[in-house]
Parts: sequence; structure tokens; C-alpha cells
Amino acid sequence: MTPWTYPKRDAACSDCSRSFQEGEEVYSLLRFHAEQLQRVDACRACFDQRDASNDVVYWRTVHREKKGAMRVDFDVLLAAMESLSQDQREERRDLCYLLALLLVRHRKLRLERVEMRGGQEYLVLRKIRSQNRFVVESRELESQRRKALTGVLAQLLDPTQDGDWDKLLKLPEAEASEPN
Amino acid sequence: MLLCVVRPLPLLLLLALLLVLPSCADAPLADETGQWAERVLENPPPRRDVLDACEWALVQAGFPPGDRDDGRSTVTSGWDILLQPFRNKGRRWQGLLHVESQEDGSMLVKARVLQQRNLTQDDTLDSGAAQWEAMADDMPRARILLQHLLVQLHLDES
Repeated sequence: MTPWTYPKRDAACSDCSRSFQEGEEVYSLLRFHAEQLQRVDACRACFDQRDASNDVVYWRTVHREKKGAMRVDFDVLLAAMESLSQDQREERRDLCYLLALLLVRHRKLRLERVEMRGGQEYLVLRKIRSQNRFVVESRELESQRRKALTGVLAQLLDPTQDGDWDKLLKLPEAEASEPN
Repeated sequence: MLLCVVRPLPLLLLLALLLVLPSCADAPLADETGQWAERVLENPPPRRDVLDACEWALVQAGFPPGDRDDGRSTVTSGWDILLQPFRNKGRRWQGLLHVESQEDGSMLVKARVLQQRNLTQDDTLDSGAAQWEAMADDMPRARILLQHLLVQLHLDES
């Protein structure tokens, strides 16, 4: 399995293109833009002026010129999963389910039980060493759909594949209709 | 001088065994009864990799290591024992994961959790003295076990 680390942050603001200064606060966020999940690194001014309606999760860091690749912050992934679990759109629910599986695999969440509600399975998950519980729908993922979503996750978190956000969350119709 | 006499009957038996063995890969379980949680995998990975994932899934789901039967495409855990001081309250569970190839190229994965209770009247905390009686399968735990298998399979490409 590929190591799940975040891509290196851009040295400039995604919106105004101003270069970050050493020690400056940088706001990084994941958001949906035209059905694509994209990462944005913004300065304080651009972050305050953004349209927050499509945000999934954001975090604040300090810009450093020399810094190695960051390790995965599972709390950020957890926050993203929690946010996505409230969204009823299909692609968000699929991504939420995959994030839940990822967090179970890394033992950040414990799968307590699987509930049946109206013929649909829901995972009841509990954060390790916490009483916080999350309910995530168990999704039937088609092979191509699953590959596309894991590709999106890998691009988001893999420093060797930075810069390419063209991978759509929602497969093009022509691709989706191809037989397996 | 050693004389080697080749008898035809053992040879025929060996030949018949060799013909039968490949078909065992999709052989049904000896016991198909019980409650199974199922999921169909499209474009599945090779059967060997799925069985590897089954072994990991059983461990992740809290079962002790058990046996793997490649011929029947089944992985069986050891017994997960929970003894209790009160009579008839002791329990033990065993997880089973079974894989079946479908004609359309997909793969059916099935999970089952056997459940038994301890009937012994004395020494209820002694596993050696336990007398186990079968109960209904633990379907909620079978669903959890199947999800642990999907954890292994769905994230393989990432």
C-alpha cells in the first residue's frame, strides 16, 4: 500500500499567487469544485474571502521553506469523513465509506457493529480512546468507481503525484458505461 | 534385487484424484447451512490474494488464527472464547470466510460466525471442562467480519 502522506504545500497562495513568507500562517482546505475534490492552500486574506459552501475540511499550518513530507494527519481524515457523512450526494457517500475503511484499517476507528436500516447497511464506528461515534453508510462500490475514488485519495495524499486534480469523483458517462 | 511391481489399481486411484482436485477450488462447503453475510466483488483480485485478505480480516476482527483450506477456498478462524462465571453464559465464536467464483467473472465472498455456549455446571471458568452447545449464528458479527474483509480488498490499489 502506498504511504498516505500529504502532498507538499504550494509555496504560493492558490488564489492570489502571492508567495508565502517564512513562518506565515497558511490555510489548507479540501473542497469540491465542479464535482472535483481539490486541495487549496490560501493566505489568510483569501481564506477569509472564500466561498465556504463547498468546503469539506480545512486546517492551519505555518509555512516553512525546508520541511520534509508530513505524515498523515488522521484527525484531518476523520474530520473529512465526519463532514462527508452528513452529505447525501452519491459521490460524497462513496468517498466517505472509503475514508471510513481506511481509518478502520489504520485502527483509528473501531468498527463496533453493522446496523440494518431499511435494508441498507450502516457502519457504527467509534474513535479509538474516545466515545465519539460515527455512522457511515456501507456502499456497494463498482470496481471502476472504487478505483477512481482510491485514485483521488492517493492524489490527495501522495507527494509524488502532486498537481493533477483532473481525476473526477464522478466517472464520465462513457467510462462508467463500459463493461467490466 | 528390488522388484518394483506397479499395480494398476493404485494408479487409477491416483489418476482419478488428480482429475478431481482442480474442481475442488469451487467446491461447496460441507455445511452450507447457517446465516451468511455476502458480498459480490466485481473484477476481483486473484483467489490467492482474496484468501490472504480473508486471513487478515479474521485477525483484524478479533479472531485467533485458524486454518486455511485453499482447496475449498475457505478460511476458518480459531475459537474466540469468552468464559463467564455464571452458568450457560460462557460463549465462544468461530469465524468462517468462503470465496466462490461466479460464471460472470465476479466473486462471491461469504462470512459466517458460529456461536456456542458453555453448558457445564461446574468449573465455568475452566475452558478444559467446558461443554459447548451450538447456538444460532452470530449474524451481527458476521457483518462486521465481512466489512473487515472489504477493508482489506477495497483499499488494495491505493
